[in-house]
Amino acid sequence: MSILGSMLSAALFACLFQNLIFSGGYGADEAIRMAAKPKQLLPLSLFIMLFSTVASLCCVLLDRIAAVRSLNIFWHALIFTGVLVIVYLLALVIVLFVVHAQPRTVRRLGIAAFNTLVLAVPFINYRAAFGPFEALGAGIGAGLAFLLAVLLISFGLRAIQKNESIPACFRGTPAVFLYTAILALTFTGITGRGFGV
Amino acid sequence: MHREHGELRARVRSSAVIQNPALFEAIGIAPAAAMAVSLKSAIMLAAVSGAELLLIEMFACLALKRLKSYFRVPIYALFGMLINIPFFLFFEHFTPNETNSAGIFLPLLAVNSLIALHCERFAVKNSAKNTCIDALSAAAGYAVVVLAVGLVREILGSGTVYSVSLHLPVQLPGFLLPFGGLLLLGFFAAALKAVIARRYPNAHPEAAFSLEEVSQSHIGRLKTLLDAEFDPYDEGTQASERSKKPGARPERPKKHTRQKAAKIEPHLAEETQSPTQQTKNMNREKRESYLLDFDEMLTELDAYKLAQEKSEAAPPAEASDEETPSSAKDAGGERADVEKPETAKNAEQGQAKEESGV
Amino acid sequence: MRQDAHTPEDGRLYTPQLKADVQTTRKYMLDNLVMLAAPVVMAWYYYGGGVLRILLLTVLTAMLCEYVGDKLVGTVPTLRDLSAAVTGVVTALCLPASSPLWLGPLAVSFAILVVKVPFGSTRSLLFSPVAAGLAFVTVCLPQYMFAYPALPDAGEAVAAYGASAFSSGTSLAKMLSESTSMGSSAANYIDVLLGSFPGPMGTGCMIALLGALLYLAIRRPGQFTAAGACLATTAVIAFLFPRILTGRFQSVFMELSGGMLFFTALFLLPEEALLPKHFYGRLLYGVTAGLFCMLFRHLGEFEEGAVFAVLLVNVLSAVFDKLPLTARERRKRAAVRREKQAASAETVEAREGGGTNA
Repeated sequence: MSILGSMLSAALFACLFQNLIFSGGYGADEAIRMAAKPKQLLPLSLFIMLFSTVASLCCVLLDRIAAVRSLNIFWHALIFTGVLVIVYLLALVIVLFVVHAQPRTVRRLGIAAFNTLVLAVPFINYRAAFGPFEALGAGIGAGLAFLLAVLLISFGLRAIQKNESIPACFRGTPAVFLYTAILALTFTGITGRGFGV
Repeated sequence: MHREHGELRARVRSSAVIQNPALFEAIGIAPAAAMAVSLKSAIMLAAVSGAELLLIEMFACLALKRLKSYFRVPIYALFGMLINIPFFLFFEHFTPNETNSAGIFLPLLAVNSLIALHCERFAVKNSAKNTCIDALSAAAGYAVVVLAVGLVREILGSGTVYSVSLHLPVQLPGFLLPFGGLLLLGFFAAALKAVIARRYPNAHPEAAFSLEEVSQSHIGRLKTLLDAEFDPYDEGTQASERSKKPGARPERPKKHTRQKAAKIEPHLAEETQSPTQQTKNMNREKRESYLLDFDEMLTELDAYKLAQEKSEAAPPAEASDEETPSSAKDAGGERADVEKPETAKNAEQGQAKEESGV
Repeated sequence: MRQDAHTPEDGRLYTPQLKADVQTTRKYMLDNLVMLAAPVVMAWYYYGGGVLRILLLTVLTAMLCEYVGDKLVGTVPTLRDLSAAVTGVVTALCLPASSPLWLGPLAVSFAILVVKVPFGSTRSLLFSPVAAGLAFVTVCLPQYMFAYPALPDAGEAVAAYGASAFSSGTSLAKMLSESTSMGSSAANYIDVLLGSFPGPMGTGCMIALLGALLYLAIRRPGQFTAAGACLATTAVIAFLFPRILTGRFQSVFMELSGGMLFFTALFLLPEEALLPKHFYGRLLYGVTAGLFCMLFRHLGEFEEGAVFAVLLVNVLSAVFDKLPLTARERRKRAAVRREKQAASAETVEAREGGGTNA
């Protein structure tokens, strides 16, 4: 398969066919909480895409070293976390000292970098034995999956907020969870019996 | 003693029940929905999350308070992974099947949002004792939810309890998917909310997850979206609470912040801005000029106080009836005038002594 | 805490507003029951008395679940609006005739207790309950959902799935997923039109469904817009991207007749509470539903994905309403935007004037 084809297929897989959030459950907390803050959708999705892409690419390239490849899963977990920390710190340096961003932008970095969705991508690449281009596609797909998930959940949150007929005990997070559950059920229609890594 | 006991109970109730992290704050959902598919995996999840929460919160409280929040967050992830590994080894040895079915979620618990949010919102702002209580009660609240979800999913999805078959006629394997976990979380949240409404009518669990901003638009210029306020760790609340303490002197902004605030951003041409943006810019400029004026007044007040103190320390001089001192300069001038007759007097006294000495 | 709008007042069961809502919904549901009469009769004709047993059980379960669910959450049960009955009938007709007796009640329990009761009532739905119930059993128990029996001979009962006498048939949807043609003989076309083909109980007889479509077009043109747009889009995609190699027209015929697509477009898609309010919004809603139906059929895991497509398009319903699809809408929005800008400019001027005076 061509480079573009492998990237595209990995991205579509992560975003649609095995949506990481609805079918895998990765990053569901961040998706639900950020769906309640629509203005954070685009900035956070961009940062998540950035971190997942760069981290997964670095991890895949590191895994090409024989010494790293021979390590067991615990060491891989530490390496992946370490790579993510380094990528985060680099991004922090750029944002603080080069761009001179506001504290709110810096706070977004922490939420965007350290969540189950971004850290899951290197593990998925490792288990699926993805190459660098597929890893790139998977990272982009993770960002798109987050964007799609937050967008769909936020449509529901608006409807839930306007709906005065919801019984008192279901108002708030119960209705939100049920709504997200039905969305996840919908995506299962594409993926079938779900996603296991 | 009773009062302390009552406060402790209220705090535990708040952390574990009324602001239950999974059911009302919507944190730690991903592991509960994806990993807790059986009682065994739920026990694993509860144990690891509880240990991480307690250890990392205490560490944050005792050692990381002085660090900036953006340096603390990666430390939580690294520390969490280090705590995870021994648990991973332990569970792999005793429950290999469940560890295998947990997949990559066990290592992912290191970046569980439950840890970071509780550390930032509570641990770094409170004492060690309160942090310990918060960690234990939040861990207990989370564990109960996760165990309930795992148990129900195992019964409905696999027809077993703790791997012991119940010989049910029908199994619903769909419950083992993330949607099943979210479904159960929704019903448990509703049930708990109904119980809280009956037993503690003044409690508002829905306050933990606000839907106020939900009607805002996603669409906008990137700069506007980046400028939207974002405070997941309630740092703004902490600053305002600190200033509201009785007797607390309001903090003076640092000099570089004042200077930065005084700069006007020239690249924002007024004609390309919307009226709302123009209003915001004008308000910002007014605020900056007020800050500058306030600074000048404080400087003058400090100088006046200094002058007053000096004048009180020096012997009182005859003040002229014509002039009333109105400023430091005038006060200084009067002091100069006062000093002159004194030196003149001293000079006369000196001359008188010399004359007598001759 | 806010009270539900429909709790009883003055000891009366129904408020006037609720009574009016129930009457309106009842009229709409009676129309649905008229449209469903022909498919029910054809299902009984082909599959015998077992169909009526499944129907009765499913309808009674739906009504019981709605009653119990409403009582538990503290709202007034509105069984008189017949929505529960229609949910039961529609759900039952989408099941195979060989499905176990508990499958219909399971689907309808999910539909009512998870999708309807927690979000209010038939007039405040967020998802189609029938679509969600069918999606649930499809994901959990696909072996039952897609095990269609061969048409029995006259007087013979249909054997349940798993029984030794069970004889499976290949549905049109299965044939399409395997790129198998039904053959170009006229007899096959007639069989499909009359419903003499394996498939869900009530979705096979195209003549009955075409009659229902005509009834919908006359009685409820707004809903017909969405249904018609969905079917038209499906036809266009089937023509452009056929899954079989024996001709595009046969592809269109098979895609429209196979599975639950036609039935879904008639009964699940045009749910009044979920449809956009405006004509172009409904048109876009139907087109998008058709697109998603074919997407799920081509790429999805299951041979029939129409119910998942309905759920997905339900999410986007509010978005379609907000799109400025006509010139009149666009002018209206531009006028509102100009008014808002003028109002904010006045506010800025008023503040400036006040600031100068101070």
